[in-house]
Amino acid sequence: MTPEAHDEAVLALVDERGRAAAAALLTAVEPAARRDGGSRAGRVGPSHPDARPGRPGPAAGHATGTQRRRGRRVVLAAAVVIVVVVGGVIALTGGDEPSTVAGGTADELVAGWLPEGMAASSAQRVGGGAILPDQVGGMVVVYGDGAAADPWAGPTLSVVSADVAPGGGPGGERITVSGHDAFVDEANGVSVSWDTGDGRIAVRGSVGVDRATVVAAAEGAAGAPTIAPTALPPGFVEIGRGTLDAMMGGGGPGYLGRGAGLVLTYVAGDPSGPDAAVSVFQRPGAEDAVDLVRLTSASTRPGEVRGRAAVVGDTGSGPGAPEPFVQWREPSGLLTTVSGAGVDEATLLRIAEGLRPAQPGEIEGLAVRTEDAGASSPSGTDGSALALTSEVVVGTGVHDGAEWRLLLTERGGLQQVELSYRGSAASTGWPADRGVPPFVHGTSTGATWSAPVAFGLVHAGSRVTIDLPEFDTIVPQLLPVEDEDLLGFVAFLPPGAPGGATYTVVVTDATGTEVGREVQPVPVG
Amino acid sequence: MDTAGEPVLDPGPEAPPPAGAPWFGDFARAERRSLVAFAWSLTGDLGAAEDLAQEALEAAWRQWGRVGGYDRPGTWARRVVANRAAGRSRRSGRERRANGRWFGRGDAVVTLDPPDDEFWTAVRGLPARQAQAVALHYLEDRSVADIAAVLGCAEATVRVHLHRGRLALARTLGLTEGDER
Repeated sequence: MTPEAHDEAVLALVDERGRAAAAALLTAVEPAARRDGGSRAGRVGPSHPDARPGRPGPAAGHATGTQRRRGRRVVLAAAVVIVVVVGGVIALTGGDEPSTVAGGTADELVAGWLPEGMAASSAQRVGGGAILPDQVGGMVVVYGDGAAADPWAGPTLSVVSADVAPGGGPGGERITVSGHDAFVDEANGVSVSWDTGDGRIAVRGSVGVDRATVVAAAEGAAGAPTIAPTALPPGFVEIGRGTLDAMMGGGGPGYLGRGAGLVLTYVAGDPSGPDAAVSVFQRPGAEDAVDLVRLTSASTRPGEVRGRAAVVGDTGSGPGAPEPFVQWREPSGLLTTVSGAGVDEATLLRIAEGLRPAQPGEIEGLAVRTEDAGASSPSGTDGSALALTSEVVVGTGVHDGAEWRLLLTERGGLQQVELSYRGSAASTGWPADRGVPPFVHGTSTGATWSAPVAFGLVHAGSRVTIDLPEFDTIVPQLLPVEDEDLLGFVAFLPPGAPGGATYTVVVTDATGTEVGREVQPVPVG
Repeated sequence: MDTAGEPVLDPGPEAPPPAGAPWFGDFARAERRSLVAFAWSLTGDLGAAEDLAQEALEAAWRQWGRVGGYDRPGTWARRVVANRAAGRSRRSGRERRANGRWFGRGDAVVTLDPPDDEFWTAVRGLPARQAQAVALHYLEDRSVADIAAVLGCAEATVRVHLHRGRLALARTLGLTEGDER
């Protein structure tokens, strides 16, 4: 055989291998591609919201999603909040990454020791009404063997009460529990869940807890958030309780709380050097909540950090593991979690031990440095800060038989304009200590709302128009904010707006100069 | 971010798409999966791949008045991905995973059978242009002319990239005549 013929034969083998690998890859990324069309703020293309878990149980084995990093151009600007209702779960999805905001408590910690080459990368305030993807509020209470040295290492029962929107159905085999419809899912452990008037309750057994035990516990959980003692297995006692954000997702229920928090991220500063990152999460939490992260991470153990009881674990699963974490509660009341990727546990624990109280202004300074290192500057934040001493009703109205209310509020260091309609709300905010941007725009989509809606806040003298292909330009009524040179607006898009099309909100100031423009997709379906 | 060589990216006011241009929603829906796959083949990080695909679509949207008029706007979007992927560190993926738990999102990974994973790992070990050419060749069965348009080089150059890249893959994967997958 000639060398050329040999090459051709080998190349044919490569081609065969390559075509098979290509087909496999295209199949594997399909969920991610579909998800991106929706939850990724859908700046382009139609909305195909991927189902957020509406019940306890491990997340899908792959392509579970990622935090969206969309540059830092809106770090200080008002970011868009989109409400999507997916599988019965209301998910507040930030159009961009969470805002970096001044404020917080005096007890917040920053890294006092970092490995060589690692430096601060970002400081973000999340929750508390800020821009946080997939916020769901609620409680979880966990029961285990009270006589065990480490009850978390054995079988457990947990009951989750989440304030997700009813509807859509949690899925699974339909049964009756205490006279109401419920669903059993045995995909990974047994869970029984049902909708209530204002949310969803789920009772879940860890692996090894049989169906009958879980169903019996569910029968005793009608008065959630707890399970009646008589419905628990012998010897079971409460071993943990807290808000959902104590679980940190991690492949489990994936719920997130609504408590205001701070996220500091440190990364290896040299892109060609060690490929590692560490994040420090701090939010209010109870001592009983520390262990809750064990619900969502299989590899955990009790430990101690900074003289406090802690949970140490690792959620690394893919190439590049380890991905260790440690969670504890500071005496200040801050539930603190340090998680890493590409760092070993010993390094992570040393970082945790070395945390120190932030100096006044230090976190704000870090945020400023983060912004300086980012891309383009945010949209204008000129003007003095808005003094909000209480919730302000900007306007109310009725659409499709239901009342809406446009509010100005302040929570967790953020001021925000919030639209309430049909039992849920969408909001978008800006740092409370800064001036109101010239254009604050939020949008809400979802099955529980009868139509997509754009809403927001502009400065007095502004004009707002909304262009939707094949429809006349919408000029929403502007609603004066009492005692402020601000105007609110609410615009429900017309029925028949084609899903997947985009609409454009344009704001011009009193001189006719364009001061804001947002393009948003009309949701599909 | 390195955008050298990227097709024009002027973020000016949108111009209306020319008559006959595809509807952007259709374009994005049709292209997203391939863009994610292409980006993943070059980065090996699903989160970064999703970001790259989205950035490419957003860039296309911003200039849809121009890009929508191209014969093959998808070629333009792939060029954005190729250019930006070269400068995309895996660090972003690590950072994402480090704080992903807060956001209730687990690690985003593509799960492939070992032979397929091994193949794409080998592709990422090729020089950048070879990897891009090979990925486009296999993922989308693109012609040499198409690949040349994406990479912005001559067709002859693409042929060289493909030939050398495929031979390198054979060596890396240990493929010899008579092997079967």
